[in-house]
Amino acid sequence: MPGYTVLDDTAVEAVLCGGAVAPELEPLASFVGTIRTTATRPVRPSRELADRMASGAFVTGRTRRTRVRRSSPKVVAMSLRAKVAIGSVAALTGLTGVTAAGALPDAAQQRVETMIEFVTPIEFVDRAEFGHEVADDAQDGGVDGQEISERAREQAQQSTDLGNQGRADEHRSDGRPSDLPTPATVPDQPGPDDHPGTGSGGPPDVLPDGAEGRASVPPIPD
Amino acid sequence: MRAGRARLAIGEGFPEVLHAARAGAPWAFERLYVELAPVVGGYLRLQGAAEPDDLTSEAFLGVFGRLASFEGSEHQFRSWVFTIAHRRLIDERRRAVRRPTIMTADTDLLDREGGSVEQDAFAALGTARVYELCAGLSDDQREVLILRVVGDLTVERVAAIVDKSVGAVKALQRRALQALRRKLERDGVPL
Repeated sequence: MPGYTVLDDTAVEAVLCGGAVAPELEPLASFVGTIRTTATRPVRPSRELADRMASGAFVTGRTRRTRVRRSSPKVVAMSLRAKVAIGSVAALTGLTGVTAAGALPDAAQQRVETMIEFVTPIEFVDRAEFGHEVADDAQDGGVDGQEISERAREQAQQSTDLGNQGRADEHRSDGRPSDLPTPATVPDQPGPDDHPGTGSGGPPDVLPDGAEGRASVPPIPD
Repeated sequence: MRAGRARLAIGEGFPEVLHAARAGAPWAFERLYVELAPVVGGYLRLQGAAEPDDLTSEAFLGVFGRLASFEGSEHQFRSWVFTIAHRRLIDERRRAVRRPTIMTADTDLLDREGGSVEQDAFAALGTARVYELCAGLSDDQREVLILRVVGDLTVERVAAIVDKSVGAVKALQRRALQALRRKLERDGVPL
């Protein structure tokens, strides 16, 4: 039985690193050399690696990590019923917003509008009708201040006629006041409120006493 | 004969190559890959990786993708590359849950140009013998031995990669060499 030379650190390093070794260790050193030569074979890179090496497209910055957000302790502590209720409200609110924006497909839009109008006081304007109005305005020259002024002038003229008729009746009658209220003074020219978009329009900040709910044009008797 | 110190593949030009690779220069990636891919592939092959070439590419994808985080010399870079390759190997083993098996002979050697048919066949048989004997070592012994020999890494760097003490690595490499020596003398098969 052959006696083995003890492999001390020096002998081990000599065998592993290709240094000079004792004759009885030469087969072992030769084997270690063969191990080394097996690692000289070129390795073909994968397609992905080859492409990235050719283009230099490597992420050289920080490694992106996905952060998982955890629910807050308050949410975790809620009962299942509360979670369902909050979730339903959030979903309905979001759905209502999306529907109001008209972002849903036509068929779904109609159904969801119907559902929302059923469960909430919200009413949706018929978009097709609105579209027709816009189209008509566009074809006849659009909505302009002149058109609005003419309408206002017609209404004012109508009110003036009614007022004159009331005063005439008052003079014709036996002195009793007429049942018709006296209309307010209507200017001949349209006011600034009659011209949208001029910057001075809009409702007044302070209404006179009793002005709320009062019609500017008295009702026409039958 | 080889010196006791691990050789440097790139040498003095390493900082320039590393700087160019960080800037995305293809030539620099190629230089680093050509120098280190064969030894990384050999390490993974001897460790019984199922797809050593694919795993080598995977390891270099990790290396090149993290170049910005590396600072050090070529020796340290070599150690860092083997650290990443070692981790890729562990990941593969966890996925496959398999022990390293005896590898078949590298028959590609017979198809290579250069050398006589007898020399190539002899080399192929030697390679097969290397795989066979290495597969007979324990996992820890084989790990340390291949990192020392193929990786050209010092005891300290191997200890850092395998997360063991320097003393443990020295003991493992000694036992590995003793086991190989016994098998070689018992079988008497020339390499």
